[in-house]
Parts: sequence; C-alpha cells; structure tokens
Amino acid sequence: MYAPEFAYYRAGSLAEAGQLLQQHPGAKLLAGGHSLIPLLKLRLTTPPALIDIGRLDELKGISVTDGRVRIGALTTHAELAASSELAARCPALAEAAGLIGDPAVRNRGTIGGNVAHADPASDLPTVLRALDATIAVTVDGSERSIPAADFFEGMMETALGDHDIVTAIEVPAASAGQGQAYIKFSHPASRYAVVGAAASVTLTGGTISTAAVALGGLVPVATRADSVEQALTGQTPSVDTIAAAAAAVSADLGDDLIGDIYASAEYRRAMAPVCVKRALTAAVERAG
Amino acid sequence: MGRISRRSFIERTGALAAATTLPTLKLRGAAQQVDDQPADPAPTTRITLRVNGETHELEVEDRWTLAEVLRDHLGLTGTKVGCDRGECGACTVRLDGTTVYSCSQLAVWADGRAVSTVEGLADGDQLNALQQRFVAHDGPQCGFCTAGQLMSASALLDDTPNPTRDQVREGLVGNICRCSNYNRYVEAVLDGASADAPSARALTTVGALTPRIDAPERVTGRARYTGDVRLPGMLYARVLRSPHPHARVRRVDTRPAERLPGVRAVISRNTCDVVWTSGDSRNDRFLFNDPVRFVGDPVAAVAAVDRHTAEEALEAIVVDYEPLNFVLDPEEALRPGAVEIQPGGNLSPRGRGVREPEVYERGDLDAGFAASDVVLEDAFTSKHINNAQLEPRVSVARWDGDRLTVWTPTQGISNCQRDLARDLDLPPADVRVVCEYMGGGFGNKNQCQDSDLIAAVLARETGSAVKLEYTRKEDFLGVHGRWPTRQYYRVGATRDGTLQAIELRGYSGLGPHRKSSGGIAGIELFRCPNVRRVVHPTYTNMTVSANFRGPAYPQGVWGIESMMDQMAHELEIDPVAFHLKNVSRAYLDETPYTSWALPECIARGAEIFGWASRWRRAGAGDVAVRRGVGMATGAFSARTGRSSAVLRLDGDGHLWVHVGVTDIGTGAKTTMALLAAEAMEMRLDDVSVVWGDTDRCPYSVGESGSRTTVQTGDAVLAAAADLRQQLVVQGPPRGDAVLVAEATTNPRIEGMARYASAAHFVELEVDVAVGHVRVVRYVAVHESGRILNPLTSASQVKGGVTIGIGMALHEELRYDRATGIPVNPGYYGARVMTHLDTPEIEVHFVEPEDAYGPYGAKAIGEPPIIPVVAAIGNAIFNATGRRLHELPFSRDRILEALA
Repeated sequence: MYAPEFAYYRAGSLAEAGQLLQQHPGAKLLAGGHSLIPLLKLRLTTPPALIDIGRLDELKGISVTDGRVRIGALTTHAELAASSELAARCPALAEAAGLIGDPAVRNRGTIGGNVAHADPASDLPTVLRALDATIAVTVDGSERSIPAADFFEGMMETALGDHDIVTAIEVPAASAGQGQAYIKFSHPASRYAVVGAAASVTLTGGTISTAAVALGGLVPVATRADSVEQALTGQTPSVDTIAAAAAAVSADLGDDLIGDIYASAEYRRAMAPVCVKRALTAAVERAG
Repeated sequence: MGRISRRSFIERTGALAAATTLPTLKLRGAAQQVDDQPADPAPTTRITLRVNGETHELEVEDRWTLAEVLRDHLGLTGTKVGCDRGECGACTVRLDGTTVYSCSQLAVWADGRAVSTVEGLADGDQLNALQQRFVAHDGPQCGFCTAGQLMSASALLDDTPNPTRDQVREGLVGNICRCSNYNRYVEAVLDGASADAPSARALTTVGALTPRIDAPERVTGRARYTGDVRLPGMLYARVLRSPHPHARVRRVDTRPAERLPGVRAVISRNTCDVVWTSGDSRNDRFLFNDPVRFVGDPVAAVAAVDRHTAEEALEAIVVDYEPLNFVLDPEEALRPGAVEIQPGGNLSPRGRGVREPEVYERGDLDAGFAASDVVLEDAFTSKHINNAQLEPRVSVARWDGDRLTVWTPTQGISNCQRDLARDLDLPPADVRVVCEYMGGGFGNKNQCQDSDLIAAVLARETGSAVKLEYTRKEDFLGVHGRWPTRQYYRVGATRDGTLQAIELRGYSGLGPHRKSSGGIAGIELFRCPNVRRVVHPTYTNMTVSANFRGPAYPQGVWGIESMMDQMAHELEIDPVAFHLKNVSRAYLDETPYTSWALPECIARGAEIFGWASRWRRAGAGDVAVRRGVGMATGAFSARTGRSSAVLRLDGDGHLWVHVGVTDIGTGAKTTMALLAAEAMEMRLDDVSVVWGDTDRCPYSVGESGSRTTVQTGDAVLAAAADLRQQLVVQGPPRGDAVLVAEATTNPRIEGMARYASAAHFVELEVDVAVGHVRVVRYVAVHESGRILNPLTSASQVKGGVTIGIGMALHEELRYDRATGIPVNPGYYGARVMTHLDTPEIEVHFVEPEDAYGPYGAKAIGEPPIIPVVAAIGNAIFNATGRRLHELPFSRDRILEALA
C-alpha cells in the first residue's frame, strides 16, 4: 500500500520542531523513518503531518561527561555500533546496535526513534533497561530526564507526551570490573529479537557485587530480571551459579508473553533461561 | 447496465473497428466526465536531488518514496521494488554513501543529498570491476535483486576492501535473492578462487563455462522488466480483494469509487464476467467470483491516473459479503458435512468429470505386505509455501484498435498469447505478448495470470494503456504457491532389504481452483513389485496452489524418502546401500530409460561426501550440538516435445536466433545462443538471440517443466542443420541478403522414459537447547545428460538446493484456523532464505550419453529442489533419533520432538 496524504515540515531547530508539533495536532516526528514509513504504508497510523527532525545537528553525536555517556537522539544504529567510545564505555549497547536488522536498517534507524517507538522486539530498550539509562526529553524548551524504567510503559507505549521530543539517551559509563553483554535469539530475516537478554555484571574481589539483567523480545516491555539479579549478587561466578541464576528467570517473565507465527510464547519461555545464561556467561568473562 | 462478457467483449471490439471513437461502458458515466486531476492535490515540496552526479530539481508529493521518484519520475528503473516494505532489499540505493531502502525513504527526506543507483556504476558501456565480477561469477539469475546486491556490495567494499566470507554475508544480508544464488554473489564479492568461475574469457562451445550473454544488462539496470514499462497516458490499476475465506458477494457498489477525481474505470462482477480459463481447468473461474473462495479473491479492480488515487478508490468501494463456512484442510474438506466449495463437491474431478481420486497401481499390495518381514506406517504433512520470486506480477496492457499488446512477466509468451486470445475471444494474431526481462517465477508465472486479463479489460474500458502491479502481499495470496499435502504411507520389505510393497494415500490442497494436478510424486524412484498410490486433489479455502519448482516432488519425495530412511534404519542397513539396492532401474519398473545414472549419482556422492566414514546409525547422544548426515534422491522428467526456432544469418555473418523464450533466470537465452554457435561452428559473439515477443518469435514451449533447453534447443539445432545445408548450396549471404531457416521439432521417444536424476548428501548440526539446525555441508550430484553450460547449470543447482533448505527449515504460509486468514504473506513472515542462512552448496555432475535432446542435454531447472527436504529430514533423524512429520522443521517443532 501507499502512504496516505500528509504534509511534510522540516524543522530547522529543536525549538521550531516544538512549535510545529504544537501547530499540527496529531503530527508525528520523522527521524530515520524506519518504523514510521512502514506504519504509514500499512495505514496503521494516518498523521496529518510529519515533522522532519532528521537534520538537527543538536541531536547528533556521542559525548562523555562525568562518567555519563550522552548519545544524541539522531545517532544511527550504525554509528552506535562503530563508536569506539561506546565500545569502551557501554559495550552492550554497541553490541546490540550492531545486531539490529541489516546494514540499510542500521544506516537509517536512530536510537531516539527506536526508544520512542518502543517495539518489544527491539534490542536497545532491553540494553537501556539493564544499564539504567535515562531518556532526555524536551517540551516547550525545557529538558527533563526520564529513567528507562519509567519511560517504557508497555508495548509501543512510552511516557512521552504529545509534544515531547526525545533529545538524547544518557547511559552511565561502565566502571572497572564491570562486564556487559547482549545476546539475542532473533528472527533470522528481520533479526528482530525473539528473546534478548542484556547483562551487566560487576566483579569485586572475585564475587559478583552487582548484577543487572534485562529481557526483551518475549515480554511486552523490556523488563529487569530481579530474581536472576538476586540469585547472582554476592555469589562467586561459576558455571553452576550462572545456570542456577538463569533458571530463576522464569519467575520474572509474568503471564503476558509474546508469541507469533515464528516463535510461540512457549518456545520463548523455554528460551529465556538459555539466553540469559549465555549473556551472563559472556558478561562474567568480560568482567574478569 | 452493461456486462463485459467474452461475447460482449468481442462485440464491442468489433464495433470499435467500425467507429474510431471509443464507446466505453455506460456505467462509467460519472467518473469519466470529471477532471483527471485529483480534486484536492496532495501536499508537495520542491527538492533538489543529486543522482549519480546529476542534479535534479523536482516537485514531489510529500508522501512519495525515493523509489517512486527514482523509477517513475526520473526513469531510473534499475532500482527495483520487490516488496515495497523494506524487507527484500531490491530497492537498495546509496544515500550520501550509505545504503538505504529507497522504498522506505521519503523523497523529501533526501532533499539536497546525493543518491547513487545501479545506473551510476558503469562508465558508459564499461562495467566497473564489481559488475564484471558479478558477470563472471554468474551472480544474476533473474537479475531482479541484482541492483540491490551491487549497491550493498559496493558500500561494503568501500568500508572493508578485503572482506571475509562472513563479512560479505553480513554486509549483504538485507538483500534477498529468491533464485537463491547467494553462493554466486558471495563469490563475486570475494572474487576468490571459486571452483568453477571462469577467470579469463570463456570458450564459446557447449560444455564450457559461459557467463550469461545478457548479464551486462542485468548488472547495469538496463534490463527492462515489465514494471519498468511506461507508456504515454498510462493509467495505474489496483485490485480489491476478499477479506473472507468464503463468502457470497451480495452487492458491490463501485459508484463511490467512480465518483473520485482521477478514477477512470471500475470493474467488478457487476460488469465483467470474463472467465480466466488457465486459472481453473475444471470449473469456470471468473476474474471476479461470487462466491469468493479465499482471502485475496478479486472482487473489483480500478484504473486511475496514479497509484495513490487507485488505492484510495479501492477504499471507496462498498461490498456486502455474506460469510460462508470455510475449510482449510483437504482431509476435512472431504468429510461429510464439509462446506461445498465448488459445485459437485470438494474432490476435484478427474478428467471428464469423474469424481474419483487419482489411482496408480501395479502388482498385488496385500501379497506384498504378506511377504514382508517389516511393515512401516507413517504420515507426513507438508505446507503451502509461496514461490516468492523477487518480481511481483505486473501487467501492462494497451489496445491499438482491435489489437491487444500485453507486457507481462510470463514463463511462456506463446501459451500466454493463446490463453489471452481464448479468454477475450480474440484471434491469437490480435494478441501480442512481450516479456523482455522477468524477475523469476519458479512456476508462479506460467501462462496467463488474471492480472494480464484485468489490465486488458481496464485498458479496453478506458481507452488508455493500463499498468496493474500486484503488491508483495497480493502476489503471495492472489497467484499461487506449492500445494500442501498429507501423505499416509505403508511400506513393506524383507529382512534382506528388498522392497515388497508401497502404499500411499495422499491428500493435496488445491485451494478453491484446480490450476495444476495436485499430485504427490516420488514413489516412482523405487523399484517394488506391489504399489498402490491414491491421491485426492481437493478444493479448500486456502489460497490457490499450483506449480512451484518441481511441483509434485519435494513434498512427495520427503514422504517416501523418509519411509525408506526409516526402513533402512529398522533393517540396520546403511541408507546408501539400501538405495543402491532399491532405486529404480526402469520407469515404474516397466519402461527403460533413455539413459539413467541415479545409482552412479548415489555412489559418486557418497564417495565425495565421505559417507562411509561419516555415517553412523541414528541415535540420540547427549551433547548440546548434535551432528548428523542424511541423503535422498530425486528424478524429474526430461521429456521431448514441440517447439520452434528461426535462424537468420545476415550478410555481415551475424546469426540471429529467434526463439520464444523469456529467460526466467535459468539462462535460456545463453543456452540457445550456445547451441546455435556450436551447431553453426560460430563464435558466441557472432550470435544474438531475439526473444520474448510473440510478434518476433515463433512458438516456444513455456519455461515450465524444465523443458526449454530440450525442446526449444532441439528446434534450434534442427534450424541450424537446415541453415548449414543452405550454406552448402547457396554459399554465405552477401549485402542485405539473409538466409533464413525455420524448424519446428517434436521428437517422439517410443517405449522409453527420459529422466534427469540427483542424489543429495547433507551434514548438519542441531543445537538441542534452541532447536536450531545449521547445515554444515551440502553435496549435490546431478545427472542431467550433457551439461551445456556448467556455470549456469551449477547456479541452478545451488539455487534450487537453497530454496529447498528454506522449505525444509522454516518456510510456510500460515493460516489462522479460526478466521481462515493467512497471517504471514511477505518475505519476513514466510521466512525465505537469506545470505546468512545459506551454506556453500557443492555441485557435481555425472554426464551419461543420451541419444535425445540437444547434444544429450536433459532438464536441470527443477531437479535440484527435489531431494532437499528429504535429505535434511533424514539428517535430523540421524542426528537426534527423532523423525519430524510436519513441515517446516522449525525450532519449536524440533524442541518438541526432542522433549
């Protein structure tokens, strides 16, 4: 199908983008367009206007200040995957970005568009949950920060208001002794996550002082695996402790699992501990 | 209200011959008076695009995609649209250097940016280095995905000049090739020492590795496919389709659509009762049916000034449906009380209206089972999968007075012409069918499809040329795919491994129309004194099933080869030894073959594969990743038959070969040129092929049934023999003189059967934690008589095997059983193979002498897919000790089997 009619406006500044949003109720922001254009073609959304923020330099680039990595909303997945700064400070995020779709998708998809779309089969929300990221949002010229835990509310639902614009993602840089990993079982063609697990493990004197594990793909919204984290904290990492902790993930999944024609909910449930175990194993290795 | 029937159609055509003004249908009064421009123009923006270094100032509608602008407004049709939703990668271009899907970019977004397309790669006629490698390594088969592959490869090589094989697969993973020539594309990008790519200029005779003669057209974007055809004043058509699997159509109100500005014609059952005869060989299948019998059944069609208007017009049509009960499963459809889909019942009648299943038998089945030491019973269920060729069906129709021209990607211009003439009551000479290049088909584009007829009717109604393009989803639902089956087997053998009895009771789901046989083939691969096969081709409310590469074979061979593998296991006999003992030596144990080398293929394959050292009896180990090996066989008819060729030798010593082939991607044009060059003892460069146009080519058998090389090739050789005779008598032509030789051949083979055959060997790993199967090694040994061109022949094998792996492991058009709605039409949904899924396929040929066919050549297009599913199923059994009974062997089914 073809996209329905809409009017196109190109914002020259963040402030102008905000004004255009106010002037055109129901308008959608266009960044890379990789999620939006297919939705338009399927007529699942019919906004009267698109506001192109794709050329706003103020939303681009990766910077590091005071142990926090700030990633502009327009940073593409390809840029995330290729960033040496990110590889050093948020390796799981760079790793996940490199696993998204295919080169053409990574060239156009942006981290801001990705979090705003909040697709449960997406990879980045899972990593951002595990890394305790915050999402910087502006409205009427004022910026606020929303923790990832509060930002992702449900399947394709976020805490964004009608006139909010995602401007950046902030992630705490990894500290010494911290190992991160993102592992996913993906749909082989689209490479959307069937089950994705992000793990961040800090070793102090040979024991796991902190563990953060998040899951995506099989749950409606990226979620932390509290039971796994508790089972790991204070433990000496070993094949057995990791396996036991990974098995605890079943308590964190809830009843509302995603199933589709490629992978049933039962299959995904069975895969969750396998995926978590592989992510933890990699994270512990990198921490050591 | 006027009706467009076959009769009235021809009457109007007759009236037109007398009157020069075009009397369009009365019902169209309202819409045809209004202005052709949409009343409320869509918002536009003025943009600047730099395309291949050239700057364009354009006024574009805000909603237009970059692909639309490149193709429709800048005429750069080298960029193809295969799915229009960012899945297939055919539309890949580079935007400021990085690859993007141009179907998923708004043109306004590209304002001020630099776009590179395939047209920018070559310097005039000089191909760039990558394009040359694509030609030498036989990258493009049908060529429809080639531009995208090239753009992704260019970007990869700019970043990574010496990529590894895995980096190439990763870099090109977004580019689907349904010819599945992934091995070739990867070789071309690597340009390493591939086993069979010609490094220097190839020899030009039969048996040499010869790049396709039209490959340069396919790697530059110059090859014109039907979707690239634009005619002055051309309208765009769209089809409204049933959302119900089975429903009465109480009323179709097209008036709201007719009133829309820019809409030029709307047709439906109200006004059109043209019968699409090649759409159903047993019942009347109209272009628009009542009741509608599957989700996707056409209900109405519109022609409008542009695609967007046509699509909006579809939404304005009001249809009142009365939903009926529906049935998806063929066995259920035959049970008492099942809803009747066609008058007379759901068992499709044999010829002459006999409502009985198809039966084949020899010997005495009961005696055979009584004589058996071991009797095995099992059942297998295969699924509907779509051909999914990269180019969706598209038709362009234009009337010049009474004469109809249809540009269409058909696998047979001659039979398409015949079908169109019959269905529109026209003399065949008044129908011209043109197919310059086509983007694959695998049986999906046999003959005439309804799009050709709908476009023709709309063109007649409007007096304008009309282009009808099916979307990817429409192509999945509205044309056809492979028929699903359920197969119940009983097989008996004696302890020494001798087959005594084979029984098959099978059911195939045709969808609601009989477009092909619905057969279940494979039993004929084995010699056995007592055989009975009963097949029930059955109407269902799934989408229509018909030909897809080796139509009746891969699913049937999976069933029977699974039984044989199990029998060998039960008898504790090595499957290779079991096969060598039991495979056919005469067709149906009765008719000798013209030549037959299946036992040799098995022995040769076993040796190359190292079967003796790799095979061990199946059994479940307890390792996390289990390895297994499997083998299976296949055979496919290589029959002779009627076809024609005209050779013209001009005064410059150039030979023109007129043949009615279309070259679906098999390399048919190259094969015809090779044969002519060989027979005339000329250089390949001095031979040109004239193809794909019924006005310029004689009759040719369609490119279906893997027959073109044998049948049209025979005609080329016969014409060449005539031409050589003329040369002896008259000497070479001088100046404007031309020597012409025509030949129509129809060789008969009395008392013998002619078959190509193959044996496949696979090694794979099963990750038992996730149910994932990875093919580690694949060896395909084929006997197709003499191999005329080892380069393109091996590409056929690689592609066929790769599609087969997808059928085995993940492809399926799934239905929601509660609603009868197919849920995954599309590339991602149906899970066709990608670069990353595809292993290296090792190809070997056994070449026996055969007295028939051109230089002894046999069929090669369809055989490669036949043994694949069976070989993989047998290898999974070998690895895990579990046999799967339902396709595909998906991860959850494997885990379930292991549980």
